Amino acid sequence: MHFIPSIPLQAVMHYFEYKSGDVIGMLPLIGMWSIITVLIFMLYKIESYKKKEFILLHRIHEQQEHELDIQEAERRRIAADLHDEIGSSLATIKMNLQSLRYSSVYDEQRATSLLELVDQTSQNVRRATHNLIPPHFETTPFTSILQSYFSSLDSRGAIAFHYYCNAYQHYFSTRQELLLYRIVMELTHNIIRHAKASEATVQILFCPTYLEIMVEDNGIGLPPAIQQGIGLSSVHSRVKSLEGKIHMDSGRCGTTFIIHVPVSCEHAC
Amino acid sequence: MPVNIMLADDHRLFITGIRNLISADPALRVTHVATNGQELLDLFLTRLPDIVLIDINMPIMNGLEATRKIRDHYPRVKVIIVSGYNDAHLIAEAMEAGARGYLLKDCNAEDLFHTIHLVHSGQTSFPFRPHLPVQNFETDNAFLQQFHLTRREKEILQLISRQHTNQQIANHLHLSIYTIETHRKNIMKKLQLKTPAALMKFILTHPCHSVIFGFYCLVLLS
Repeated sequence: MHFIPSIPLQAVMHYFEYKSGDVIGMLPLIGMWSIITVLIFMLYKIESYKKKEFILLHRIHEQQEHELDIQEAERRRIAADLHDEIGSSLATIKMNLQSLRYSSVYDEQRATSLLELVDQTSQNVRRATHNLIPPHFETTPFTSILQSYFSSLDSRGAIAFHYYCNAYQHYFSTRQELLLYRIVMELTHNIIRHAKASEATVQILFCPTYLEIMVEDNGIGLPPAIQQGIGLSSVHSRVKSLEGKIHMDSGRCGTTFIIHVPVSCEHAC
Repeated sequence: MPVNIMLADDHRLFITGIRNLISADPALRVTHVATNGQELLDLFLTRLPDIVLIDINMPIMNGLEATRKIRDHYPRVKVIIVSGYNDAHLIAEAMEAGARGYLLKDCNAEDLFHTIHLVHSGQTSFPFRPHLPVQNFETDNAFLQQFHLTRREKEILQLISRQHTNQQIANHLHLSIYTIETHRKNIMKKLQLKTPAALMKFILTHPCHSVIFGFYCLVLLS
């Protein structure tokens, strides 16, 4: 028992007297303290929510990238199947049809019309395969593929496309080049479908620290529905995935897209 | 002496088809077939063909790789690529790899025979593709053409020469100031100029000035 220090009764009484005498005077102070405490607590909460939000956004970003990768992998697989299975089979059918001997003119005519059908189907398969992913994308600079795309467009379209690319630099991985290629193709398709333009210019400019894509047309400007559409949102998410910036300038005299994609340090130095 | 041909394609039915077709020409003879590039090169150890018909997409060693090897080690063997692809960049790559001809898999029999005989006689045969660069930005000024300026860039150059500010150019062309600034930067880069003063000097001293003046008149008239 003697271990417990005995508190003098007088001291305790004095304490309570002092307390009760000043408690009303201290109320504002206590109020301020509690408000500050609540504020600090709320700030802390906001901070943690911000952190959570950041993590979630990051996760969404990762998810989107993952989706893009899955989409590309699937496209590659379908393109390979189309080309290797259907394309080759069609070619085989044609080879064999051509080596057959026909006993009558009627048979030969039927074979000729069959050959025409095979030709048409082969062309469709080839176009579909190319749209999924251009062949040998991994080993060809994306600017060369764009070059051959625009030179094939130039001769048949109502819109005169001008394409210019300065000296190609191997700044990007195949995955990134595919994203860049898709961005340019989407913007080009937008012009063909919606811009009502007579001329368009596509420029790919390699600068020391960034790549610039500039796509201009002299059409009527993009209607708001298109600006909010799936096509452009896929462009936005691809630009974001490349950590780039996109600037759209659409008015009654045409639309200009300017995209800047930074070059990662290892390539820039 | 018939022309000795080797075929390489991983699609067996296609090989059978093309073999049947070639057998119709007595001047041609298919000696061996392979299902990939490596197998084809192994066959070369027993006998060298005159001509090889080879697909691009094959496992183990693809056609382009095999073509490069043949060019380097067996320069007398002539290679014709037979592919399902009709893309300019692949045709260019085939040429660069040393192929003498390029055929589409679904070509006509006449084209096939024609190409084989042409290549055998020492010539080359590639599908015609207008592989011209698509940058026909006006041909009126040979001097400016070397800088690859686009029509819009020339328009802006002309407005700069009239002492317009970026804001005035933006209003004139219904574009945002950021777009104009970017165009301006690109013009400077293409002309390899560092400062706005250098740009002004370029405009004043180079022959493009007269053309720009012409442009100016056109704009005034329109």
